[in-house]
Amino acid sequence: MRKKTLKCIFVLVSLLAALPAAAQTPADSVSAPPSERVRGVQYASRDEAAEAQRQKSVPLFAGASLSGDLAGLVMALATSYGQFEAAARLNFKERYFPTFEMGWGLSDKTDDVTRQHFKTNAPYFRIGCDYNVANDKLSGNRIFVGLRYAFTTFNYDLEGPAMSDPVWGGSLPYDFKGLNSRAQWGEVVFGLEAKIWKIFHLGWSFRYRKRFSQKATPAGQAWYIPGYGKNDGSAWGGTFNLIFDI
Amino acid sequence: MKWTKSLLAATLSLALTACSEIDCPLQNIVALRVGFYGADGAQVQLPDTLSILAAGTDSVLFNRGIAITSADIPVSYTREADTLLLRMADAAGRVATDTLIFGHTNQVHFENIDCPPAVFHAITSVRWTSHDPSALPMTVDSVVVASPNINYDAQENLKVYIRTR
Repeated sequence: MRKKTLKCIFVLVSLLAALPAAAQTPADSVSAPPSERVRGVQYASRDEAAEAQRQKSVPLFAGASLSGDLAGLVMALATSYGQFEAAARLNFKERYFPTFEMGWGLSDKTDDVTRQHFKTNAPYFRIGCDYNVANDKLSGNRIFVGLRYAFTTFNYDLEGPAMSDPVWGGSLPYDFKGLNSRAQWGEVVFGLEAKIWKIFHLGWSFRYRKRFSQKATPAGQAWYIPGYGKNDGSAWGGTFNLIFDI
Repeated sequence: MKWTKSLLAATLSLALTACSEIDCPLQNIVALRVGFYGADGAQVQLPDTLSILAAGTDSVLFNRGIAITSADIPVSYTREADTLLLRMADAAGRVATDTLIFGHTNQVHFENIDCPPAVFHAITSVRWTSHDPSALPMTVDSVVVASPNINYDAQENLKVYIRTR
């Protein structure tokens, strides 16, 4: 009997405790403002969503970033020429990206057939601006078009086997040290950049180069121009960048 | 993720399409070009046979040219002046020799690391001798520097005016 009484009291207490909670639930759901219940924003169409995204305000100065050129690094370590290059970039409204690039170009090449040897290492500088043409400028993924002005001043060594005269006899030494040259050129840039993790981005750029001027030495033109690459008829180049926001 | 995949695909494509080529000039002969002119200033065909020899060597630089209007002559790599012997002969077997001496610089020219180097020159002076026309009517009258630079451009460097009587 006592057991039954205790059981009855437990059930009653449980019911009484449950009643206020059950009574309050519908009242709260009605009184709470809708904004507290909705997670995310829904739009009627993709276009509407993109337009709303565009309208979001981006501060004039939206950050800065540093980057390094991995392609030039690999080339410098694995081939006869390449460069160590870093760049600093400002971000204005996620659209305009003034950029300063500087690097150290180096080459040490001996041709197997002609036995000519070319060697140089020198700094170079580029300055310019990229424009992000991607529709969704807040995603962290970017499509760039841009321009650069670049210049370098460098010394190089050039040597090879002495030139033997087959007709008149004798030989002319072929050994130049410290030939001085300089060059300036422009670049039209197209690039893609993807956000890979938090502040890190990965991107490449494809560049069309046009020499404005270069100083020829008495021995001719340099085989390699730091920052420009091989000084031949090809006008194309590129970078593969690891970028992080600061 | 889609962006990262696109980026990697584009990078791979660029790496696979990278190529290199040998970029040597097709015209790669360096020689002194001598043109022959008459008294009226017009280019002429030499009426007699001409050979050009390198003085101080046993080299024949140009052998028995008949009715020629110009000749290309190799230039020494190391000398400051080359002496050319212009040996003329007619059908009657008469032979006469004039001398042409031209001073020049010597400069190794680098074109590309894949291409053999060359030696370019700049003419600094020119002198000549003329034989007695009674020995052979055809003789050198005068010589003028038309273009001092001897390089891949293959321009006429010397105008040699010929007297034929």
